[in-house]
Amino acid sequence: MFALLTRLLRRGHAPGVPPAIPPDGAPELLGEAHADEPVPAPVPAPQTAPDNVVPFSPPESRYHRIHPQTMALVEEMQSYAGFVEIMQAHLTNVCGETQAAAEDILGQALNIEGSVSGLVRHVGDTMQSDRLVDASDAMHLSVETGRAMIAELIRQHAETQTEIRHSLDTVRALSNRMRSHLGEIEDVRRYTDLLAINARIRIAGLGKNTGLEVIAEEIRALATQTGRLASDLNHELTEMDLMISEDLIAKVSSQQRTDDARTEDLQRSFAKLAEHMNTLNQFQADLIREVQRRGEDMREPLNTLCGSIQFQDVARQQLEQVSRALSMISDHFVALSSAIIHDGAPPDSSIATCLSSILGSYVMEQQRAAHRGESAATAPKIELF
Amino acid sequence: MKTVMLVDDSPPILMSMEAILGRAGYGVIKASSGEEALHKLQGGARPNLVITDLNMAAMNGIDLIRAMRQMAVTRFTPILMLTTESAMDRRQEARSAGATGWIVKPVQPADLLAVVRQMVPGG
Repeated sequence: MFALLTRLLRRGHAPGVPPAIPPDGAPELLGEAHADEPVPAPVPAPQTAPDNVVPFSPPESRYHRIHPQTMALVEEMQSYAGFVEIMQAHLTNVCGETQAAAEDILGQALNIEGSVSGLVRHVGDTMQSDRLVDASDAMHLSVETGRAMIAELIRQHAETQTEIRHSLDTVRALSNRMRSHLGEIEDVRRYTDLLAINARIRIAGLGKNTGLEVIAEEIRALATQTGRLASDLNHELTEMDLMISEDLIAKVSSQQRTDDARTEDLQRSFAKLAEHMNTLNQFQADLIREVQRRGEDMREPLNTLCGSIQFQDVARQQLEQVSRALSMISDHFVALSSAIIHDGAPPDSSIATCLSSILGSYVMEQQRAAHRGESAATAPKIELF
Repeated sequence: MKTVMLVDDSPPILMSMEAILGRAGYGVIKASSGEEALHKLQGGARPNLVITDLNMAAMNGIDLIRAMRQMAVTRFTPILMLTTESAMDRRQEARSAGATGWIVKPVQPADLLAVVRQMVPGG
């Protein structure tokens, strides 16, 4: 058919325009019998003949026997062949273009899927890469180590506090024992003082210049000194008690409160840090899951697209049948017109028979049903034998 | 990896079926004609399943099945027809030739995969 269209175009026929009628009155046939015949030269336009010239009488056309209306019908039938060529070219273009488009759409969709899959893999690999996992593990380890160190610091601090309190208690106990000893010293002082008074009385009874007055005086001075020392010691112990109870213990308690507050802050910070890290890990896991899910989500639409693209094959086969039918009609017309012009035998079968024969060449049941004007029988789309 | 041979003279069909089966985990061998399919089988291709079109230019799908059933290596290989044809007499013809099943185009990918998995588990 393409060859025929090419021949038509080479001979100067515009598509869809009936071929020129040769000078003998017969239209040029499009069938194979005339395909290689030379193209007749155009007939010059008739001019007015001079009076002394006998007018030229052309020989009688060999087609004079054909009725002009039949000839017009032959022309129509032959012009149909050119039209069929054009329609077939259109159908071929439609098939080619839809096939190219289908391949392109599918190719692009697969490219997109490939890119998305690559991205999903990249994100997954990055999120689960050794470096990231190692860094995350190291951060977790640092946080846990920090928390353990703080706990140890708190424990040591509490131990120190306990030791300090214990030491202070020991000092207090010592102080109390010293106070007890001070009582005994006071008793000694009072006894010494009494002894000194007694000695002075006895010495006074012995008369003057016995030399014993000096000893009595020394005993009294010893008692006085002992009393002063005991008083000083008592005063210093009181001050020490005061310092221990009001100053040292207060400072230790205050420091403990401050330290407790700081360690609590530190603990809270580390707890927050651990919480943020867990959140970060959760986000990371969610991100991986989401990216993977989106990647998976693409599979179904792409599968559907792959299934939908089959329409092109179905449509192509239907168009091929249309093209085949058009060829059949065209060939029949050519054969019929040839028979009319050459007074030959008509085609063996009628056009109606030809068209009926198309029924056998259909590739789909729905085409056969449509041809018969029936609705297609419902057959299972999938059948395993 | 389980392998499926696709035989179809339509490039978009080959592309789409390859995408569907490939992403389901099957290896795919493509042939654009019955002759090419036989050539590949003779060259050592050993598919676990063959899916062939019916209407192809030189050798149609039923002729291909007959030829494959003559080959020792594909005598028992499951063969599915994937075609736009749905006539019962053609199905019967394919069945007699040795086809394992008949699928009418266009087919939903999920339906196709269900049949393929039934024929070749563990793709």
